[in-house]
Amino acid sequence: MNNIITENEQDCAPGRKKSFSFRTFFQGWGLFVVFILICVLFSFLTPIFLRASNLINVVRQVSIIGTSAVGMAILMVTGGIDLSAGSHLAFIGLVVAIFLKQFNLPVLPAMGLALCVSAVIGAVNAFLVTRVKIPPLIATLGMMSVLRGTGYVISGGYPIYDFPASFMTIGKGYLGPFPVPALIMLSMFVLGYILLNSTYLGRYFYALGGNEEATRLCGVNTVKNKYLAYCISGVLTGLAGLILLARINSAQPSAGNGFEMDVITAVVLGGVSISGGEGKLTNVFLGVLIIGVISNGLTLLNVHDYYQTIIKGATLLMAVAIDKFGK
Amino acid sequence: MTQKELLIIKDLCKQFPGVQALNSVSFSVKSGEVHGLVGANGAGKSTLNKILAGAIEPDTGEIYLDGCQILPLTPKKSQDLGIQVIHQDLNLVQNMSVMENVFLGHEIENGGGLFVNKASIRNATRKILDSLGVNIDPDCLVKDLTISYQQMVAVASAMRRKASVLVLDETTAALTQEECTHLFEKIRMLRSMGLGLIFVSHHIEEVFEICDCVTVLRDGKYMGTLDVKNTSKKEIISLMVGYDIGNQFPVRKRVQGKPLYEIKNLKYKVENECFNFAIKEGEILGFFGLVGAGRTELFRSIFGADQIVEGEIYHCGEKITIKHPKDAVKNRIGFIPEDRKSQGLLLSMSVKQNISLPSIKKITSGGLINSKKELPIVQGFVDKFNIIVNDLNRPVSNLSGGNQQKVVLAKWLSTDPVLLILDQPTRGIDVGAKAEIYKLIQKLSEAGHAIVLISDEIQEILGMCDRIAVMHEGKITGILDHSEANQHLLLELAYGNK
Repeated sequence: MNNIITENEQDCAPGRKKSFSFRTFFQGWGLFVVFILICVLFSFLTPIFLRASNLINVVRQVSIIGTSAVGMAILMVTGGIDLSAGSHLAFIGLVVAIFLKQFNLPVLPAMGLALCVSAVIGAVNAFLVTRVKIPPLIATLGMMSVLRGTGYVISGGYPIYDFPASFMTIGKGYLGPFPVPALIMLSMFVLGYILLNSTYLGRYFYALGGNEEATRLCGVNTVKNKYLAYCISGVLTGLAGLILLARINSAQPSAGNGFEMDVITAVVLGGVSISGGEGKLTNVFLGVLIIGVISNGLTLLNVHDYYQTIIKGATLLMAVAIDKFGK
Repeated sequence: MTQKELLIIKDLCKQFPGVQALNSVSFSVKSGEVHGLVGANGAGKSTLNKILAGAIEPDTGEIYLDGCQILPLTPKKSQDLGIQVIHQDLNLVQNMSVMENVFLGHEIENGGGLFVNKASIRNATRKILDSLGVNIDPDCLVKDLTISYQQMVAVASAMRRKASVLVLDETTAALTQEECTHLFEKIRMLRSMGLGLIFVSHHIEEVFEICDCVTVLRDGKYMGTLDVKNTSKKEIISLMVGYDIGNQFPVRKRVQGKPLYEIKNLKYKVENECFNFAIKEGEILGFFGLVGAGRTELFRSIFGADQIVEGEIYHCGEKITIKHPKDAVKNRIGFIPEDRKSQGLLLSMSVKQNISLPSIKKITSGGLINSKKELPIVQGFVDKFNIIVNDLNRPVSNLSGGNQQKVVLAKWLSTDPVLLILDQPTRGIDVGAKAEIYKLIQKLSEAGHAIVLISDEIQEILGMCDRIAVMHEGKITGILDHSEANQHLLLELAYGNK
């Protein structure tokens, strides 16, 4: 029987010989090469760029986007998306500020409660998507306005500031030479990586994004898993909100405007498909770093903010175009 | 009548990374001829079609139409020259009307090109449909039509663009026998109009029914063109697969065990009559019927993919409740859906991940997948089922249809089911792979699995099943023992004549 199938099914066994192909190399390492090229370019243009202190600075600067990007990447792998991340970020800042200032809660319970609120926001998104069956893009677009508005209502439109020093460590503190927010982001990437690559949940998430119906027919509870993905994404965005608040020491109802776009940019740069089922968290990390390095490098070169926005957009388009070429 | 050679294909070669998809293929199609094109999966039929459609470029070779070299082709050039390819998936816009589809991209305008002249498009469409002898309302939405009518819309659209060569790519795959007969009438009509038709099919019987001659491809190589009158099914198949396949269906020991699963008073739709039947240990229970008879719906609801309206399911005498596929898996039922690509497989995921997906929870500790356990389990299935794959981490989309179907089977067996529901398990796969799937099914039933085999292919049902239930418009019109079943009886029941 063996020889029979090998004869008529040659199409399934291409590439028996392992030969070096630029394309396969590019698919695996393309983003890394782009990252290195950008770094090399900036190190020629400005000597400060490669200093250890500056590099650590870059990682600190991207920690807020990065923390949220871990959640967004997990969510997008399942085929979801969350446009409410920016409003969520500001809202959770106000929530924890109210917990700390008005209810005088101690720091840890206040943070814990705030993250619970974030999980609930994620669950509401999931409810809208799975039960009311609103497409994720629309559901979270609606939530984006709802959360932003609620933020204005509970704060009366005014910023809340001055928080206990112990709270500020998650934004400004250092552990040895390493900034605490950067360490938080890195640990979230590590946890996210383990979740996506080594747990059955991660397997379900990829499956869900790849083919929801086939996954459901396998006996996987797709609704429950979507809830989980939205909650994880919500909590990580909430965490990013806490870091932001601790860094700027002021809860602004208008904070994080357009934040979700930066996060989605990083995730898409990292090769996560908008339709789900594909993408690696290691590449999302590179995507986050690329965004950080570009904005840091351009700032060092005194490029005006207006131009920086253009360059960031162009980078995204280029990266996606290169990715298409690679396929 | 001497027929002129309309389309000449000469020394066509096309290489894809790692595969020689076409290797110096030459043949010609005359006008007023239906030219069959057969070959196992991966033989190069679709590559050839894509080249004719202008979708891909051959590496070397020539194509002549009416004596003129026409390469290189683009999709537009190919259509303008009159080469029309009707793909299996039809490429129609489902939410648009028939006439809008027929004239898509070539709308007749008025008002200085601003508006579409609906009346003249409607008339023109009706004219084309009439010439094909098809009675469809041009204003009807395509999604409301049955597949066979949708195909007629695709043909009409091709006729509108002027066709001299019409390629029908596996157009019968989704049709019932009745619809096929209808399609063949139309094909004969197009032939008499002087078109050259290329008819691609997996079904050799159809080739004998409709084609004048048949070209066989194997592994991208041209194996020969045979005159249908002077050949036999056996000769074609041996050219296709390169060996004598012998009897397609394995010999069965008929065993009748005790009822394993019992369906009592079940309705999947309110207006149904109640379903009452049992599936016995070690038996293969066939479900035959026309497309739309409700077989898939019935078993989707038993499996929990859709909700049942009322009724009970018993497993070994105990009542079980199935509200979601996960309940079915718990009660040891497996379901291989009819559409392997959209429901059976995760195309972008690897062979390994596909096979282990339904059972992945069993090999985790603390949520972490134990990859040391995963690999041998998967490898075991790959060996047992003869799945040809050289890297388990490659996406399953790289496999051929037959191997993909084996992956779906393996995936389900990893959950250790007692009852396996197979919905059209051999659709769209080649003869060699089919025979292998049959052997697998046979092995499973010998190992004590109860099997429900839903199929449109009467030979398959007669060859494989111990008992055959026939459905017509949402109810079972008869359950026959294999000894009393024959083709005629099954069709009578399927058409509701009894």
